[in-house]
Amino acid sequence: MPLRLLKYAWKKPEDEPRFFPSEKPLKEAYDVVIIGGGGHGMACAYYLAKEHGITNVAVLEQGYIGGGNTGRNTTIVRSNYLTAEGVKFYDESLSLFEDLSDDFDLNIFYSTRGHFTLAHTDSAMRTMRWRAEVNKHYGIDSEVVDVETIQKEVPYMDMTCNGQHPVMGALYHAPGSVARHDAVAWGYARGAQMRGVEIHQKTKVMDIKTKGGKVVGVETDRGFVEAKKVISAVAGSTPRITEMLDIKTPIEIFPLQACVTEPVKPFMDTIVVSGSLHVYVSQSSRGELVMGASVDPAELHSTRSTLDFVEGLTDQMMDLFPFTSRMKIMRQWAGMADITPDFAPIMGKTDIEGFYLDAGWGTWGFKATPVSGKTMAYTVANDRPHELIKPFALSRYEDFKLVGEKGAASVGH
Amino acid sequence: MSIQIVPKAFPVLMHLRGEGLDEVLASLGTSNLDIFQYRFVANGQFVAKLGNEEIFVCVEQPLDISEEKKQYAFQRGDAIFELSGDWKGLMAEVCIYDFRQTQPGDFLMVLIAGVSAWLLIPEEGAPLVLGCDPTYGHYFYETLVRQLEVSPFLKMECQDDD
Amino acid sequence: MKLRLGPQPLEWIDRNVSVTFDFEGKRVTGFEGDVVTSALWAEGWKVLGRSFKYHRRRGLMSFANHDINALFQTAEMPNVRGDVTPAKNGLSLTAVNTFGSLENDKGALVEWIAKFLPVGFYYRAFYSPKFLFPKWERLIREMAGLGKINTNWSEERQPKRYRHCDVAIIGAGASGMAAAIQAAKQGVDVCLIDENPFIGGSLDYQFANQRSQSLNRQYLKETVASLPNIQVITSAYVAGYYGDHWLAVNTDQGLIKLSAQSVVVATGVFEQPAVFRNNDLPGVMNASAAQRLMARYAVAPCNAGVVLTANHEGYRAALDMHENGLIVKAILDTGKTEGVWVDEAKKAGIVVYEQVTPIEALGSREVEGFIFGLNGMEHRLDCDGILMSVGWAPAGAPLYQAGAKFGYEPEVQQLIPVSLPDGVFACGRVNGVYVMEDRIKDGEQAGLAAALHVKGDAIPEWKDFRDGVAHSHPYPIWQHPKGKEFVDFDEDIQVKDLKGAIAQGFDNIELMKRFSTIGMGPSQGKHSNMNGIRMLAKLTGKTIDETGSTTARPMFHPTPVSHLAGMRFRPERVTPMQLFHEEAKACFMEAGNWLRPEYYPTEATREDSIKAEVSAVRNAVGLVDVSTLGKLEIFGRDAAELMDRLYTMRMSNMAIGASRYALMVDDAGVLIDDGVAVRFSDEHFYVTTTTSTSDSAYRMIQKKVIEWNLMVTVLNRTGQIGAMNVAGPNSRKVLSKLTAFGLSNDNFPYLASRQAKLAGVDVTMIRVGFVGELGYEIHVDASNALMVWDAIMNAGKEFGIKPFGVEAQRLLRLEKGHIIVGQDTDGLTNPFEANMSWAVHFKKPYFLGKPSLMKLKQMQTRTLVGFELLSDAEKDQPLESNLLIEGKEMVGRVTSIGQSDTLKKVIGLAMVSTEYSAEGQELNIKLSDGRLVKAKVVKTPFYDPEGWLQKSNEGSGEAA
Repeated sequence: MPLRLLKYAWKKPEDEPRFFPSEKPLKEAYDVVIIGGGGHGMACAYYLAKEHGITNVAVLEQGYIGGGNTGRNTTIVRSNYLTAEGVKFYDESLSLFEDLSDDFDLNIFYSTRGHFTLAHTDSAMRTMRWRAEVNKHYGIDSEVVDVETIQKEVPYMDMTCNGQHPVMGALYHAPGSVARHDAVAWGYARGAQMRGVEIHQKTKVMDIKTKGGKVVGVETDRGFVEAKKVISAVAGSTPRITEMLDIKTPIEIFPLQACVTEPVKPFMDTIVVSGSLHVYVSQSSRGELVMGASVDPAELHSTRSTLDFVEGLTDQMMDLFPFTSRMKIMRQWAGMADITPDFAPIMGKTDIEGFYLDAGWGTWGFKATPVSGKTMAYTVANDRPHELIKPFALSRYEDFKLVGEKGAASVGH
Repeated sequence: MSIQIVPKAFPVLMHLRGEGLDEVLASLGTSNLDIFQYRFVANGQFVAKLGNEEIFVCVEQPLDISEEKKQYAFQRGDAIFELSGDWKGLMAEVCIYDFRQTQPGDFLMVLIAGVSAWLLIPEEGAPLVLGCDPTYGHYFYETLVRQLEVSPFLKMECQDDD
Repeated sequence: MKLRLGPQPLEWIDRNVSVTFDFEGKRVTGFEGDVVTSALWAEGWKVLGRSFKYHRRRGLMSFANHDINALFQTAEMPNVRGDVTPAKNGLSLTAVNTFGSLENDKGALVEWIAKFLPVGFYYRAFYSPKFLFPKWERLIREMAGLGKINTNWSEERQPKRYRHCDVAIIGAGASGMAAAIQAAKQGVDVCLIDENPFIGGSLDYQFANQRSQSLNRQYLKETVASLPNIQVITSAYVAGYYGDHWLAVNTDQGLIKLSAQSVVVATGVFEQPAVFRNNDLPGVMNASAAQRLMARYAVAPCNAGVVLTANHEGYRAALDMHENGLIVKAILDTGKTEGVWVDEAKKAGIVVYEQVTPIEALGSREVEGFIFGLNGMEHRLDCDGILMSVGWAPAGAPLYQAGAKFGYEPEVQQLIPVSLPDGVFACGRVNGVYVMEDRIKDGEQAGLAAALHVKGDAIPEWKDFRDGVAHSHPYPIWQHPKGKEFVDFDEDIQVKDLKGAIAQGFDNIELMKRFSTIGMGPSQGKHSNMNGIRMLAKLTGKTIDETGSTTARPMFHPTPVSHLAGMRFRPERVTPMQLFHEEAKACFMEAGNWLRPEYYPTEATREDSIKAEVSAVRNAVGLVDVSTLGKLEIFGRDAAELMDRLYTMRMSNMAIGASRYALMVDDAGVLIDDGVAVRFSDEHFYVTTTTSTSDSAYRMIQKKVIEWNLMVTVLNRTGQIGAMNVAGPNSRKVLSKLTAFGLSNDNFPYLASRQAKLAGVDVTMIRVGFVGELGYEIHVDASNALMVWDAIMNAGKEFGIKPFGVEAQRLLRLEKGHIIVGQDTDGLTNPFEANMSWAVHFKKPYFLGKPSLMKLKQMQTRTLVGFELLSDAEKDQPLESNLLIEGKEMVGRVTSIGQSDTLKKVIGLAMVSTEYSAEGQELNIKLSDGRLVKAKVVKTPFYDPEGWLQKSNEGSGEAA
């Protein structure tokens, strides 16, 4: 029995220390304002305080902490990306993830499960090998595995896929993990808050004010707040923020849906993704199968669920796991994914002095939570982009220096 | 009402596009055909109007078409079938379209079991003629036959809605 | 049967047919029409399951599928819901999530350490030391989860079907039936849906013994049955409301996708449990649960029970018990209620106490007594059942999903809909209307409004039929110092858990849910969300409206994967020559949804068969089926203009009868497609695309035609035309046997296209050079394609013709250095990187991708090169995607590679940093096992660099 729990046995609930503060008024000014109280925004605040001693920070969240995409994703963490810049970036993220529970004193249930990206065509096999080779070159544990190996690891998977597009092989990434998404946001939020950062929920930013090309503050539904540095970390709401400053980005918003089954006893210890079948699945520690597919086919600023999504997903999933036909779908939901043309994020400075962007996270955002926070904090503190995020500058689109990640986001997770 | 699907041989199906197609319609006795309507001009031969400059012609007689007149004729090898019996019951399982809205004489283009198909809505009691791209023909036929065999509703004698 | 009652006026069971099944290894007998829970209860089974976290004994609670106390497992199915699963012969059920058995569940030990497991306890521990976490996680996973999966279960699929109606009515209780009748009378098609096997709803279980309602009941049911335009669907629930009034209706046989023009939501309410210490003891249940038990299944909830009530309805439940000869020890009213049923209860001699405060239920395995406060003193009543009637929450999921807004109405102490989207109506108890006569009127106005909406007529002003009486207790939560007052039974959440969550800062409705997990179990908050909201509001000093509620998402009940998936509709395409390939026993591969011959097994091994095919093409003649290529007809006044704009090279200056390589890039200048364009006339072009882009290219081009406002028609003829390629030194000789058309270079030069009769039918022939031999691509109507193929095979026999497949074709084109878009190009490759500057004609005023290409031309950093391996050893042969390394850097990768018998070398294509692309440059290729092998950059084509062979006059009978 973990000794920690003994401590808590004798405490009354009312005497527990708060994770997040109760509502308090906004100050007139802060050094830094972060728009967006999800994992990324909170992580940025945390590292600003912890590593740069910048604590006069306010995180403004229009809803509740982690209520955006942080609370809606399917919690997969991996670094088996296609490009050098992607691999280095996400590898750093995984290193940070591994120590987060200790850093936070909060169990984020970071569970290394291994991750299979199945290939059902020659072309997919080529892409898997490409990713494996790039990963290995940078010391990431990824390898192309054959059908026999996959069957041994995942004996309950139907490799023939009902006779159409059978599995030909897979990219196996041993460090692939899942984590409790909410806890990541809470841990960063509490850690930031403990170090003096203010968190304001139910506070919506209505406008960002500038003077002479420099940020001077933000207009919220609770009044105006002065700040010389403003960071936007709002995922699917990015266009609403960038429009306030007339900043053009190639971001398009697509709904990204997910669903869970009823909880069942554990049987799936690994993470399985299939590009051809547009399905990815893992089992949470609560026992539910957590599943997702590709983004919706059409742009939409909405988190509505569709029947198409869950019909298509269950249909495809049964090719791999026929026995799941006896399970039931308990709940479906959606987030808004800010998709970029090169499937890589947009991070760093912008043409507006004092305005920093952490966006374009599409379907690759949750796994980047720690590294995005850390590098954005560095960037904001030093007013120059961190080495790891230089390839993700907004200006790359004008300069035709797109990141070549399209091959890695097979179904995107 | 048991449902049956059979492949049907039709004369060569031609897809005509371009100008002056009213003359062609007139030559077949179908001048007053409305858009998205079809008519049988003889047993197993039909004409369908898809637009002011687009018609489907499935007849035995040769047609007077030329590119000089800005008329283009394309032969189609569609797989064509006849569905008899309670075809609306089968459609309810493979097609999203609301067939309460259809009238005999309608020419419909819908997705059936994932494949684009065209339909000639028949008179009450007559069979439904439908066709699709030939490369999907095998899948189309097999899928509809399987649905008829497997679906509990379609196997029921009395199609009572409960 | 211990608790079976005599015949009930509206019972669902058939006492003539008995049903036997097993539960936890013991025989149970019930009647046809029983559900599992009622059959068990009738035989005296009070303990039906163990709770999720503490493994406390549980009995039936809502008996409406709003909780999972009665959740079972069979060998064939996990998570069987006892409340709604019919009892059937041969069923063999066990309880879920027990360690040992239901009776001796070792999991119950957890309750001894409950003190150490406060809300969110797992967040505070188990993560340090790191190496132990996987062990703890394993344990936590074993303790969580409900039913067990057998991964050997076979696949099941249930067909789905579409239905279309005018007015869909969800819920066939009194207001739903009334709505259906009114709507049907307007002449529209009505679909009336109910979860239960029979319509009637609470009219049948709450008013079962209310003689004054039998007329209503008879009228409503008979009228519904008599109207031909009302379709009734029973044993069906609406899993979700999806946009545009689409409802996913789940039935036992499968999913109905119902499209309506308007929707009436008459779903009623979820009864909420009272929250007091030990409210989860078997025998403690909702009053409506007891009424369903008695009215539908003739089963007594208990022998001597207590009714804890805050409303009129509790008195009706007590009367039902009394009329069935059961003892009602007392009615404990938390306040003071007035009404007909109160008077009747008192008249019947039932003891009534008012202003009662619940304290705790007593019992070790089942409820044995109840302690309550009255006039400042504690009292105890022995009982074997406690009926709770403290209030309801609206079953509003379809309304929420449709975009309705709810507001808290203090008069009725209930959330009611305050704004509804167009075409959506609510009536009955979900709308806060409780008195039966009023419910019917509310239903009538909703049904009429829904029908008028469909007809486009004006809808009369909405009347408020609420009675202004509170049917729900505003705060039915009584905390006890010793705890165990359960709010969420699925997740074992007690009052102190919620208090703890709120105290720790999770003090808004979403955070409270996610931290405490209230409402996250399989019941998704049906019996717990409202109490959770009430607590949060009180503890944070906010109103219920300010507190809000979490998002109601599909599915209303967990819905079978087999129903959602339905039948497997995966379109497959085959070419017109499929019959030949099958008879030749070709080994097929999938290309998108096409089947294509990968190779024909004429030799002992796959490798040898492919080699033989390659050799035939190089030395004699081969025939390949390329029908999967996309084929587009482009014609009209602006055809040439469209061609110029779509492709990188100039097309408008093509001569009639010429063909040209057609390269397409997207807006970012990235290569997306290549093919061959042919000009039939000034205004008529014919273009091929790669197999994988036939549909996407067509769609894109259609969009562009509209965007650019061009007078041109584009037709996708991919499936209508068969195509084949006859290639090799003897190809002209073979074709000459089948046509009178002159095939010499003079009449039919390289890269030209001709239309002629071949084997007696019209064909288009194009002289192409993809595989680098004299060759003709033949395009012919699908209905003639197989005949032409067969004719060529026959004519070619004397020349050694062989059919060849995709693999041979891959190697042949590699020997010519031809790229495959999507293999040798990636998501960023532009024409300059692929050595195709010659294909980019910047002089054109505009073409797709031109602005990007103009920039990219100056920025080239990579180049596609041909290479040959310097090693012969088979173990040294790289694979596609192996990296090129210089020092520690990745400088490129192999995109194509093959063993060329023709050239006796291993050759390939690689995308490499431009500084390493010079002819003769040595490259280091890193094999998958880490070793480096050397290769050398060479010029392409590897084979017949001057291209003499494809231009050859061989077989024309003319001088070269």
